[in-house]
Amino acid sequence: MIVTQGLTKYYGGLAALVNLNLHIRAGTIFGFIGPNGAGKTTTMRILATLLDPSSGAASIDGKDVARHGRDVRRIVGYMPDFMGVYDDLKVFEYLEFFAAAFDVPRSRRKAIIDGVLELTDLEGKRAAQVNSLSRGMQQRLQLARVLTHDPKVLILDEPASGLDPRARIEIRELLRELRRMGKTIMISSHILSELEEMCDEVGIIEHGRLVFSGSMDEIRQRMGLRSKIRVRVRGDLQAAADVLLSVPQVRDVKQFETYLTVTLDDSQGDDGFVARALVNGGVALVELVPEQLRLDDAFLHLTKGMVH
Amino acid sequence: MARAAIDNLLRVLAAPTGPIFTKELRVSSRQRRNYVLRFAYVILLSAFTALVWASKVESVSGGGVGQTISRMSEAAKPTVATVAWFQFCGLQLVAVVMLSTAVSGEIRARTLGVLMTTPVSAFQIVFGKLLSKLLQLSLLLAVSVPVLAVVRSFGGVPWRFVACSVAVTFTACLLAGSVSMAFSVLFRRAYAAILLTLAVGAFLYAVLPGIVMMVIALGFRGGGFGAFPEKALEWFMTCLLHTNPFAMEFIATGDLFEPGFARNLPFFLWPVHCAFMLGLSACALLLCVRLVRRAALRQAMGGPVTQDAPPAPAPAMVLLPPGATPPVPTATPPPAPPAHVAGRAGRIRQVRGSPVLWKELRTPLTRSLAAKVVGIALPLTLAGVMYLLVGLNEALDEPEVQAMFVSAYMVIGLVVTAVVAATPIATEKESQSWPLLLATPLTEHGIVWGKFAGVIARIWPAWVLPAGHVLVFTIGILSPAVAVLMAMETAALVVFLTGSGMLFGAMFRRTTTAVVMNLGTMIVLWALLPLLLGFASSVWDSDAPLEAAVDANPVALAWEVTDAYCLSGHDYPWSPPREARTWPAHVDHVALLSGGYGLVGFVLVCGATRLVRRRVF
Repeated sequence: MIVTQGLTKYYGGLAALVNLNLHIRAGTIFGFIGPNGAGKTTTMRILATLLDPSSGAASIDGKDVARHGRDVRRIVGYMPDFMGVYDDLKVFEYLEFFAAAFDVPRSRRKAIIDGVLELTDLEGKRAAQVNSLSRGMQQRLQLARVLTHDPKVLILDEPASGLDPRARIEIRELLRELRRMGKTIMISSHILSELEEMCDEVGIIEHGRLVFSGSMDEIRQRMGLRSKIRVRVRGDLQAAADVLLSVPQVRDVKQFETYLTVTLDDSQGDDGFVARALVNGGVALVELVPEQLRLDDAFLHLTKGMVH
Repeated sequence: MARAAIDNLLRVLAAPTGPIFTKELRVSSRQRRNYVLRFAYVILLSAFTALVWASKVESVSGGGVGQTISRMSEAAKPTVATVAWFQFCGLQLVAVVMLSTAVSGEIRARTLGVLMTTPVSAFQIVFGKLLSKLLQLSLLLAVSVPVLAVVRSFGGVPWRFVACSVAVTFTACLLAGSVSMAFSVLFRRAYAAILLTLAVGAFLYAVLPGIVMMVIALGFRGGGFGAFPEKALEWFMTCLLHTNPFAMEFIATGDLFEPGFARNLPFFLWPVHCAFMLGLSACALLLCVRLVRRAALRQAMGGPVTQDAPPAPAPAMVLLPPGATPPVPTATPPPAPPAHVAGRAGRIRQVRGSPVLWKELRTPLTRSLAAKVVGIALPLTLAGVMYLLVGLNEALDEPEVQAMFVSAYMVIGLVVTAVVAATPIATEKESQSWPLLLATPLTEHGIVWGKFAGVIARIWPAWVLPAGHVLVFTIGILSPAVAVLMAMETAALVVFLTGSGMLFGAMFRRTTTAVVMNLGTMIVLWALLPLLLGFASSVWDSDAPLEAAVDANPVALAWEVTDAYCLSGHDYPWSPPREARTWPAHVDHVALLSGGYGLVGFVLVCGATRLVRRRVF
């Protein structure tokens, strides 16, 4: 759905994007992460037709963003990382203004706006002045705005920044709902744990260059990380460690005060043999929890903390 | 004990040069626009001085050495006077612009409330900012010193003129800057502070003296002052002159060219005037200190600070307590709307037609009810008083009076148009809604022309007074031709200024920059250029450049048209008009000028359309 090829953007002598190649499949949520100044916002602005690339090409649904800007704008809902609100409009008027700007027929506007207000839980605010809303409500209003023309693609730049936990959870649920509706969503955020929970794929960008793009499993493969299991037993920890070390697939066992961390040889394989070995060895197993690869770890591993 | 008192005194005296002063100087030194401003100022000053000098060179050269020296001393006078007047007018404008963002910048950056959490006082904030700007103004004032010194070496220019001019200029700048800074506390938009300061200046230096003079004239006409001693009236008028820096500069210049020019006045003491101006400035600054303290405390409390500030957002949602059940994204009971929201929650209007045009037509010139009342009542009251006094003086049918009214209204209309036209695009950029608009399928033409129509819809109140004046006085005093010709001229000028305003709005990110550029275009085209060409005419010994500049000046044209088509008090509507006042007069001129300005305006709007997608962020 979204394809960039050799996308490059210079601001004067500063390279904000260098040869960016992305491929985002239709109907997925793509998390775009990177340090501040890495080039995330620039990429999104190019895709939203607000910036021209210095070189390279980008297309959405087969339409080149530079040459067919107007067609692209019709199928994209862009939410920037700032609030763009008008001082003099009410919530309903604000949404209707953008619906009209997107050529939504007048006869359908009311129903659509009622729908997006319900979806974003802003029904009670339809007659409130836009600039009197709290930050969280303004964020939700922005989300409502990008939905008024029912776009195929949503480009959301830091949609959860500055929100309280409740609002963040609400937006996450909303995005999942939108994915179920078949939307393609490109989202950037600094809250990696949230992206991890909802994204199908992630792209990690640093210093204008894409350092990784793919699913979490692909990250694990790329990083060559092995599976780890946390084991809690009743009784002697040392005895349990000895049992585990005798298992061929176990590479290493580390003993902590109340639990063991077991590193396995095969990162993809079935780990049920650990429980079986412990039970067969006469160890009273209390808990066995696979340790997941966190996006935070992958991010730290893949990036060097370089910013412009 | 004495030492402690001295230390305290020194601390108080050093207070204005505290951290705010240092910070302001540091920030100013990093702003490119300050260097551009100084460069432009020096270039303009040099151009004026060179042209005045060149216009006098011919009269200086030739003859014997003694004659040459004598002529050089004569040539020095107009040169020095030009420099003095340039600085007098130019530096006041610069002071107003420089200090128009002095406090609003802190309010916008939300640093004013933060400053109140430090030991820095409101007094230090105000004086630190003022002194840093005055230092920069002094630099500009000092730029002319070498020129004045060189020219003065030719003789003929007494030191007392130079001292008087510098002192009058400096105190006038101080007052203008202080008033501008006081407005910058009240209004977040710098152009509002600039315009209000200029309006206060126009009232204090032109309208108020004009009213007083007319009242005095009325008193003499009606014999009301018959018993009033003439000497006392002279003293009163002299005191009045000493409150007006323009009058002071005028008298000083007159005294330069014609020693003893002020001898008819009971006294002429420019230090008295300077003391008066310093007193006024002190009052403005004290007011400013109070306003800053109040604004800072309001900001620290999270409330709206300026008169034109948008309402503060509602408080954010409360964080969940630890261990609370996971929130469900379903309907949460909406909190009660704040009072200001509830008050404005009225009918929801449907978008019809072009969304941009719909929104522009909904945007008022000002949201503040007080501003609306003052904006309508004050001009109407002032105009009413002026009409009453002029009428009582039986001068309403004088062509010059009619021309003065129409020209003054024209200036007001042009200024309002220039300001309003520069705001719609730049304001969207400042409020960050511009990228959202550009991310829609709306075309550039649709956006720009929608905003163009919105500007026209918002500026019409500014043209009600001139239109009303011309229409009312068509009954018996003005020919209907004035209405037709002025309508043509006004329409073209509105297109021109709206076009240039849209272009500057598309070019710059800040509303204030766009407004200042549009106003600057007006000043350069219709004030500075005619002045320069006037001097150039003397150099080239041809009136053509000056005539061209005057012909292209809309205010001069409004004056000419009104003057020409005024059926003077001695004529009657049914009497045959004099030859100069027949219908074809000035028609070709107005048509040519209107066509030219209209065409250029159209081209500028097209230019704005091309720039819309550049410099979006």
